[in-house]
Amino acid sequence: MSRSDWLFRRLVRALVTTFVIVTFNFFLFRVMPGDAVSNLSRIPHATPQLKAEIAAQFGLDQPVWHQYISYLQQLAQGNLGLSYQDQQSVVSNLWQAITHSVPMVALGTVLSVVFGIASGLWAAWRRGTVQEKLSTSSAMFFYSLPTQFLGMILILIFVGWLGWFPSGGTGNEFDFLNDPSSADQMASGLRAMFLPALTLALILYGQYTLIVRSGLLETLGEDYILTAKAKGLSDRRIMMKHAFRNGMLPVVTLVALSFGFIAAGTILIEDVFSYPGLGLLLADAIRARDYPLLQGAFLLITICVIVANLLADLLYFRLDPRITT
Amino acid sequence: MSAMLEVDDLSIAFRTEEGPQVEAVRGVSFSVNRGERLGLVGESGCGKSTTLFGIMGLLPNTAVVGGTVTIDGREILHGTQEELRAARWADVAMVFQGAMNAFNPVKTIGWQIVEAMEVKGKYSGAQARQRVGELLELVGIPAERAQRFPHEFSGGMRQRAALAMALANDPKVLLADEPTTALDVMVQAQILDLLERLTDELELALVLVTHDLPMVTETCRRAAIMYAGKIVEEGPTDILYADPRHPYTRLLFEAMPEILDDREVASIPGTPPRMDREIVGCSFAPRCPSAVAVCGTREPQIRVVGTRHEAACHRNDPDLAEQFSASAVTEST
Amino acid sequence: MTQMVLAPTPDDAAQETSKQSPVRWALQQARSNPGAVVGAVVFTALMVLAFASPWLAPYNPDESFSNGYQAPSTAHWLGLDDGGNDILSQLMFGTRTSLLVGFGASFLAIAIGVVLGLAAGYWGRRTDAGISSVTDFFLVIPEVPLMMVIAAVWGQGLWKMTLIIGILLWTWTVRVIRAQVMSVKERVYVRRSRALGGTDWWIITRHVLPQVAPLIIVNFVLTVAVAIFDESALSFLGLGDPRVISLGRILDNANQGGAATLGAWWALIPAGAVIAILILSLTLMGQAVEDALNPRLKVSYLSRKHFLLIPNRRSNVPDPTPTELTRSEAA
Repeated sequence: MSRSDWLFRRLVRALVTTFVIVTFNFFLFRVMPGDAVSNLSRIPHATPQLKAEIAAQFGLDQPVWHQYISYLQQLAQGNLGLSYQDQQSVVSNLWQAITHSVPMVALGTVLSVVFGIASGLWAAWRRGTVQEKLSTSSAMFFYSLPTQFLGMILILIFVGWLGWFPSGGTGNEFDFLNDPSSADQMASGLRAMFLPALTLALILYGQYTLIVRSGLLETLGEDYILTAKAKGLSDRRIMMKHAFRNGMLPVVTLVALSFGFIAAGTILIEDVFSYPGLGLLLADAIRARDYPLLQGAFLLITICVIVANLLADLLYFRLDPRITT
Repeated sequence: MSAMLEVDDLSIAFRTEEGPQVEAVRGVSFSVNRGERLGLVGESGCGKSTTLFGIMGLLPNTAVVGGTVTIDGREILHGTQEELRAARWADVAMVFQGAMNAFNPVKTIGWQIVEAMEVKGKYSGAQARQRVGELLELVGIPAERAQRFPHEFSGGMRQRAALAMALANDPKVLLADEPTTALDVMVQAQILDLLERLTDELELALVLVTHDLPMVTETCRRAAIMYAGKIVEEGPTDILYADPRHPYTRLLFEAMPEILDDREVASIPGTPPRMDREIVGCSFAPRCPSAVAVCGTREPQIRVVGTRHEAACHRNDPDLAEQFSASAVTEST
Repeated sequence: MTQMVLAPTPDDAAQETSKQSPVRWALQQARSNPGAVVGAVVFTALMVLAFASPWLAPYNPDESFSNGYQAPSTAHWLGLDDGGNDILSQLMFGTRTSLLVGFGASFLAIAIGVVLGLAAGYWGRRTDAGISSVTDFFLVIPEVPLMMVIAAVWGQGLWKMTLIIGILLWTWTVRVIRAQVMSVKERVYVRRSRALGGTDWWIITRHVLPQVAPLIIVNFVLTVAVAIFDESALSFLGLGDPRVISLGRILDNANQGGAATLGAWWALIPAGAVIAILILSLTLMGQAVEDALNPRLKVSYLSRKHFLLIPNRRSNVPDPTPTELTRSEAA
């Protein structure tokens, strides 16, 4: 099988997974115990108009397969329904939320990848020494902290005790995305983003350090490293030109597996910091049992993870010339 | 003519977590001249590969090393780490067992051979790239294959490419650790032919480590038989075959099945001794069909038994002759 | 190639490991892996304390003693939360809950994972293709959001939460078990057993399972750590059992009550610290066993330290051994 075939297969798999999730999303809310309408109207502020709207939107009087088809049709048209809480379209809610989440998650992830690789490299390089134990211990420590707990600790320190950052956000800080030229807006946006991103970075850094370290160590035990040493290459050259490149391959795969964790972490972090992103949206939707919004947010988060995995596959594809099957 | 490679009393032990050291190589000495091929033969675990690694100083930090290794008059083990690193691949190079994995999978073969040259500085730039082509042709690989990745080569070709890489800096000594294991017989023959031709043409000193005795008798003029970390006999291959002076050597030759013979294939019963314990007396005594009392108490020293022929067996000691039966030292079944 | 560098001989090594008693092995681990031992001790201690909470806890965790946060005092060692409940008692009962959920979910996940992994690895081909594609599918789905959504729709409850977590944690176990089973299946003694007419059941129980057992243990330990984390996340978002206190719920209370901004650290830090300690000790134990099972991680060709060199004892006086004499005698 050629290399482009491999890529094609991955793409198909991503699409199939997305489709299955969409279907699952649909059926999950149909297999709830009890009648769908009464469940859906368990929401506190359901008015008769709302109930009528739900019935119409979900077409609950029609056979299941009809509902499924119309669900798919609506999805294709970009209609995810209306949120119970604010009567706005789910799509616009999601869009606003994701513009807030993406920069924060990107910042946190990039920071953690950079520092994780650096400290993992350091730990592998200094194998068997005190520095390695220190690096590994601190990584394990951060890895074991529950995400929401770390977030609250950071609030305790930086907001409660030191007062360096404001608590929570109103959402106006992010208008800089509409008007990128404003430095003030940018600054306040960054301020609001910083602690959540830092929390994410610290949680992930531990995981990545351990992954990079073990990936490198395993690479360092390979035969071609011994050959490199026999060729009289310096340790530094061996690490940088041979071990690193090969060691990063499994790291890419393992980092890809952490995207699910990033999704979970984001939900918890945004809830703790009241950061108006996709995670908080999902958390609030859960608490309010706002099912259309819940469905939409879950779908979007899952699609993000699927896309991220696909990008990771692409990266791996570029790095490894051996991929043929 | 002084030897190109001289190994003197090389001993290698490994410290383990449990405590006792494992003595893998116990005082090994041999020398190889220019253009000469020496076979280092023995069972698995006798220390022959470890000896090769020791010659290049490729040992883990749990190793404890004694003795000297001299190449073209210069001792390399006792200098600084920098000097040792400088000697690697410049004066002495190695072809590994299972060279299938000796190459980095994400770099091309050509890149890796060029790297071997540029690091030493003898050839660089365009000259190095040109030489890659020449080296590959030397071992029978079309020059344009240099752009390929290791996984695109067959096992035999990879082994040949490893050989080309080893010769990149015109080394004086070539170490080959079971270069033909895991290759089929046809390819085996090609590689051995190649080794013979190259050592003759380039006047290399070759140490060929293997457990395959027939290979040694064909390819090498001299052989050293190793057992439990020591050399028990060393000499010209034809003499070792005709007049072995150590029971182990004799049994090894008898274990070689002959195609045209009806003889039963003999095997040597028992297993080699554990290397993490002290060995009292001759290490081979428990398995030796000709052992007597003194073999279990006193360790035999290496003694000359012929022209450039040495063996470590009490049978060769004239003072102990009466301990052995009146029959000749070289018994046949 | 690496085998040659690391003695002893293969035969001896095999004999040695099979003869070692579990006690000796444990002591050896203690010496080479102090972190894991500390982890084991701490975890066991916490577990004992937690399950003894009906007898050891100072108060009823639901009883209210005040209107709001109160700092630690001699009467209440860890103070009171915003509902006036004693935090130490909450902590003990909460740990018990979290451990129950963690173990329960893990048993379920491991059971599913081992069965599927065995099936995929042993029978291969179509069974494997089917199971593997399902596993790959689940690997791409973010688990915790999925758990949250299911819990939101299905309803709350301790056993429901355990079930939800358990049903989604088996994917990683399946992959690992499957790989190991596939490698064991090809080993000589298994093929021999088949040739002798061994039934699948016999081979699986007598040959495959013993080889796979250590891996299962490692997986179980690490899965419990993940399950505890997942429980804390679900309870934190209000998806746990409202009738029962758990570690995640304590954190939720702290969040809702604004403990962090109010500086009421006692309502926040102990619960989070206990979760972290549980996860850390489990991870240490799991990693230690994993490292022991994976000897390749011990070999690294790059090292700061080099091999030890015994200095030459060469002197100018020639050694009067018989060999020297006989060498000079010969031609």
